[in-house]
Amino acid sequence: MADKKRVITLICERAADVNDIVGPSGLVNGMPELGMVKFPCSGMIQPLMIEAALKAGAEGVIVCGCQLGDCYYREGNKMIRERLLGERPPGLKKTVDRRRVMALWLSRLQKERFLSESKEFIARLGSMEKVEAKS
Amino acid sequence: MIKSGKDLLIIVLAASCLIVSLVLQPWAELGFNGDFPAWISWLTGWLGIDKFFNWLGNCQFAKDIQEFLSQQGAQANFGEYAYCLFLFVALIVAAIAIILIGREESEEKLLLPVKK
Amino acid sequence: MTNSARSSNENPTGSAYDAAINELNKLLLILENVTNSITTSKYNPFYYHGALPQFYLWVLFLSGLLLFAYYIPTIDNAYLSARLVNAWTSVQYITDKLPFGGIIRCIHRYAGDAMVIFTVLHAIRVWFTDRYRQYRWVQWVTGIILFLMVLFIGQTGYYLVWDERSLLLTRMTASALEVLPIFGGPLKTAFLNGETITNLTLSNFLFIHIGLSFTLLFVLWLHYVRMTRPVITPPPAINYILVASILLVAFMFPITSGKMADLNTAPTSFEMDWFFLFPYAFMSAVPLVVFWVGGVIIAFVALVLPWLVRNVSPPVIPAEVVIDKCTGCSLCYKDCPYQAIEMVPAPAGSRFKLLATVKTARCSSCGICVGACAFDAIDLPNLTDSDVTAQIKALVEAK
Ligand code: HEM
Ligand code: SF4
Ligand code: SF4
Repeated sequence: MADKKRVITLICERAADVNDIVGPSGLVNGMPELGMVKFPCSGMIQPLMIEAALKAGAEGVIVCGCQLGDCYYREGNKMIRERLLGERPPGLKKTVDRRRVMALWLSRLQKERFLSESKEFIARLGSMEKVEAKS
Repeated sequence: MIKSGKDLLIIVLAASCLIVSLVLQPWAELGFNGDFPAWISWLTGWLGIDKFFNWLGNCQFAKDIQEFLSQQGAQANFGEYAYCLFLFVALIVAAIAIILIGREESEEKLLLPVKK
Repeated sequence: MTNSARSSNENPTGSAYDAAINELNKLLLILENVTNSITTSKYNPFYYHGALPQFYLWVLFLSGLLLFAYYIPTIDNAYLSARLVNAWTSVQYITDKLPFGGIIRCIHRYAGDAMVIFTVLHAIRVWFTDRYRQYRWVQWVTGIILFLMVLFIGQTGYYLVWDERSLLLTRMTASALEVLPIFGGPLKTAFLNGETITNLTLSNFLFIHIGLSFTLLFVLWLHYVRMTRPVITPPPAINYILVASILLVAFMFPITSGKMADLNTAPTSFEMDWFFLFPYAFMSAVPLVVFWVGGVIIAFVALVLPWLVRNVSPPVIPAEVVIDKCTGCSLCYKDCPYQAIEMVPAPAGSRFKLLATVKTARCSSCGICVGACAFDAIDLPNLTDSDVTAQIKALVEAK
């Protein structure tokens, strides 16, 4: 798996509960293409961190916070959502490939939804790669 | 314009909200009949709304409402309590329609717009 | 090594209390998921838990104003004695004669009940989801005070009607106050606005009812002062449902008045309103000493709940500003959800005008300021910016 590209998830520790599927290295068990970084709140995610992941060679970044309206710290997920959309500073740089960023707002109980959405995202990135390799 | 069952449902809800608030609420407020001295002439003449209201007042459900209210201890102004019931219906129907429309905007997944 | 992020919500000490709260939290999460699947998060009433009682408060102010216009706060009125005009007959007039007066009265009463219900649900939600202690203690303590005030306002509302129930409640309250040590007598006199029930008593009740209602706004300000942009308005669709539900109850249960209070009689029982009058049920079931001691203990425990469980809360480690990196741009100050950042004048010699400082007692350690800062100038000590970037790098490169 060494040269296979990776998708990095920046996730709030109160959102979709992934504790039992993440190994000690931070990779998801059985899905080595998906890595997890946990935050106290999705509002802590700085757009620069997303850029850092892509620059380091990640294929894509998933941001995951709680259901909109249910942030434990009241507004964190709204903040990162607005930052991603460029409605609140600081935003993503213009050069960032927006197709490689996805955000999910899922409650603690929605692990399955998280996994299915990330699989789909990874597959989509894979097919994007193929198209680009051809052209 | 009507693309799905949901669109149809929304139109039905909007129409019933209008009917309830334009017909049933004034009827209840007038005390379940059409005897109102100050009708605008085209409402009575052309639409015959006074006759329609009187006919409604003789229907079974008008009697049921009044019987229910007196059982519950209302002493007067039955029409006003019935008005509450109809306003309740109109508001709930409107709320359901708004939620049906607005829930489209709710999101669990955000894909960033790609600018060209 | 990459997973150094703390996981504070994974029951920190494993105490029985924590375990119980965890289970209750899960139950709430399940309920909220079900609601989300019906209404989506945008209209999920659970996500407007604080705004719901606030909305009913506005309904109460408006309907109360209309009632106030016709209410006469006397037990009898000598100079109009040709026809007896007093509190009870004025309420009677509102109910039966005034167009939609009875409805307004129903709305005022049932909106009060609804406010109590939703206040309790709001308190339960912040309790079970562990949103009530540490940096949130101000909200909790003012919340308990608000609840007690709302209860007392509702009870004075019941005295104002001046039917037999009002008379009995007034007498019960007066004798309960009388047994208190030292302040007992003066409190009773203050409550009745004299030694016995007179016309002045009812004007006192009206003053308390309205005066405390406006004081609520002040206490609400204290409740909100540590929160940035408190969510106080539910979306219109939810407001419609909130109003509609009171209207349905008004239709189902029109208010019927009791008999006019007569000072020469001694009514002994009344119809119960469990939302406001439950303390009176307690009062009549136990000796007054037990009532007061029990009541004070319950209120006290509720007030200090945030500290009772302090030993099991993971400590909050506040954010720290890196002084020589901060440009004073104020972005963190705008986004902090707990008003924990203050912009102060920058130290002499700085290139910038302002400097962010963290008020540590208010900080929740959420890191939202970290997400807001474009200059890496503010950090959570146990998960710094560079920790995060290192974790990301390690993950991308991991085999
Ligand atoms: C008059 C009744 C009350 C009203 C109108 C009210 C309203 C609110 C509102 C609007 C919020 C902000 C929610 C947000 O934006 O995140 C809030 C927060 C809060 N309330 Fe209340 N409240 C009331 C009573 C209470 C009571 C009885 C308690 C508990 C004893 C309580 C405890 C809290 C706490 C702890 C928070 C902070 C929640 C957080 O930081 O996430 N409140 N309240
Ligand atoms: S961590 Fe930052 S944003 Fe969060 S409460 Fe503390 S100062 Fe405010
Ligand atoms: S966002 Fe950063 S640079 Fe701006 S005031 Fe806050 S700490 Fe300073």
